[in-house]
Amino acid sequence: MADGGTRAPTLLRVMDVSAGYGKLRTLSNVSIDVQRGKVTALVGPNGCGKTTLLRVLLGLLNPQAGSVEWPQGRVRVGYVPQADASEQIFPVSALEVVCMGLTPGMALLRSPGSRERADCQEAMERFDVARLAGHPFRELSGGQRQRVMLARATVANPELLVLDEPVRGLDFASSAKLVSSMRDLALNGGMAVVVATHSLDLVANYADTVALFKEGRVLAGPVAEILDDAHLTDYLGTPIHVAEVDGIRMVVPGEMVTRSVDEQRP
Amino acid sequence: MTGWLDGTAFAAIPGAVAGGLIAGTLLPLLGMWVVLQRVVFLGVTLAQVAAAGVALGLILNLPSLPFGMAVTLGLVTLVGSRQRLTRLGDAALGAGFCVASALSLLFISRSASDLDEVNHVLYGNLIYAAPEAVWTVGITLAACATIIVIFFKELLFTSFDAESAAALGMRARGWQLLLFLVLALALSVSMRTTGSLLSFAMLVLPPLAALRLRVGLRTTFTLSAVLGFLGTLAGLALAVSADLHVESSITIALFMMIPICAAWRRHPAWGLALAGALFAAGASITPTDSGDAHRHHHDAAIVAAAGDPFHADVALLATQPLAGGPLRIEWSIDIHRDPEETQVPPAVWLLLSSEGLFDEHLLVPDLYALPAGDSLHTGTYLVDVDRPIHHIDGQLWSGPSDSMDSEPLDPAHTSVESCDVTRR
Repeated sequence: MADGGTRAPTLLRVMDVSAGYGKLRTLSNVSIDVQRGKVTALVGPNGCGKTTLLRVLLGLLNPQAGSVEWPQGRVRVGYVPQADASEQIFPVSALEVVCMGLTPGMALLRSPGSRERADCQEAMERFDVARLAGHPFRELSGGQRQRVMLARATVANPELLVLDEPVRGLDFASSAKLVSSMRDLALNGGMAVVVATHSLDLVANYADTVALFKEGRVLAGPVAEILDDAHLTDYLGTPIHVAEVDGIRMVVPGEMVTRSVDEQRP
Repeated sequence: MTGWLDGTAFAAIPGAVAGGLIAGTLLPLLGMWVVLQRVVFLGVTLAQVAAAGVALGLILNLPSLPFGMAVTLGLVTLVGSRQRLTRLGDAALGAGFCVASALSLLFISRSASDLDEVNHVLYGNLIYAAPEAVWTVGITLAACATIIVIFFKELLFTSFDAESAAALGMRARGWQLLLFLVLALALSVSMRTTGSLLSFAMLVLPPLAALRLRVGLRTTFTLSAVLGFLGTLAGLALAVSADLHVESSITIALFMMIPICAAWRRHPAWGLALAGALFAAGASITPTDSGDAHRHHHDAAIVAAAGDPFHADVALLATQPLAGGPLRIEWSIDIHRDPEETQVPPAVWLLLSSEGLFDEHLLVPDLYALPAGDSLHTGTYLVDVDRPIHHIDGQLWSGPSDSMDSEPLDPAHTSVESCDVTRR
């Protein structure tokens, strides 16, 4: 299970950032640190500003106030967008999608050669999709597509990996594989991973740091400190209970716990 | 330019064949990006904006091609630098299309230019494509296709997933702006030869057909060009054999590539069978006599090219304001003279005679100076009348350039298509 207590080098520091679209402000005075080798999860209801913060981190949206600092200098970034953000009409193969991840680092008039294709194959093997290299991307299942996108995001060896709701719409097995891969990248690859998600079980068991979002404000800290009944109930607006069994955290709706207790009464 | 077509049914329309095949092969390479990004309406709106730009150039008496190009590129740059063009949305594109279409018609109605010129902006003038126009289209489209090939990987990533590309440090909006500037340039130039309808058809239909085959990315691009070429060739053949409107025939032929490819995908034999059936159906269409000034020139030219050493065919289009006023005569004459030693009259005059109207007009002076082979001449002039005219007939007369002879030319070597007057 993740432990957010260990100090690690800070890769990215978000300080008092406020951001939004036009006159609409969706984030107010948000501060979080993103560290190497750690998984940072952004959690909150729809429209709370998770994606806005991701866009600020990625440089796609300028903050209206505050700043984003890179203490060790700007680093390479990998990005896995929301599953439905990738076009499926393109007749590209899975390998071609992964090769796109190398495009920003390649010279203008150069096409991916055998060395680049070997790098892509290696990235695909890491996520168990190498056998799908020649398959049309649009014909892959949701889980396979997400793992291909993960291969694309990591093929250029980024130091910061950003994932926007990576397990949305995936079945249990696909989610488990994806989350395990993500955790491995942080622990063994030394990457800083930032993931926006609604999956509280994922956060409870695989994240080191969590940022709870509610109406633009954020409560951030180690998972062990932040992910408890009171904070979750407050930030998600519904009774939530966090249980721990054999070192595994389970997040369940509080109403379920109340009903279970009621049923056990004589 | 006609040498390579000698002995074929296309010998009389070399400009249409060359221009059509060049545009039909290269425009699909650009259109594929529009189709893949699901912004087909952006393509048709750009085509219409280019048409409006050209029409505006005509009304302002400016060089219409550069002016139309400048208007289109300027608009794309203005909008594209403010927001991602692929996110304009159907409503904005629909509004742009309506306004551009309306402006085209308004500019045309106010234009003092040759009616031929402005009508061609909207409906195309492949039949009348001059060698220099074909060269312009060919060079421009080849340059556009080269840009697409050179920057293929950047355009692919930014088209496939613009947000990820931007997140990884690419100038996604800049690359997309380049793509749509190239598209705007190609449409502005091809517009003068193919018209907005055919340009849009060439842009979209071959890529849609190629995507039906569900093959790899590069093969899909290549196939879209091949299908564009074959569809254009089939459309030209249909237009020539059945005496149909060229641009519409090509559009229908390009569209038919979609079911053929869908059938091929099920089984190649099905695709071939459908293509064969469509070919037989097209070959069974026989020419008709009705039509207007734009429709039958290829037919007349082919008849002329069949062996008569001198032949002149005139097609007319006449319009008159609803409230009465001058009659506007749009004419085109196809002259065939081969071999060069063939005796020809010094000049050709058109004598209109109908409903009490008699008017003579010099069509082509100095016939001696024309090179051997086919030549096409067009023009427009006004005839002052104080009453509504419903129908016009005419004859070709010879004579020097300053006065008409007293005898008409031999009808065995000439023809003038009569026409009804259209009210505007």
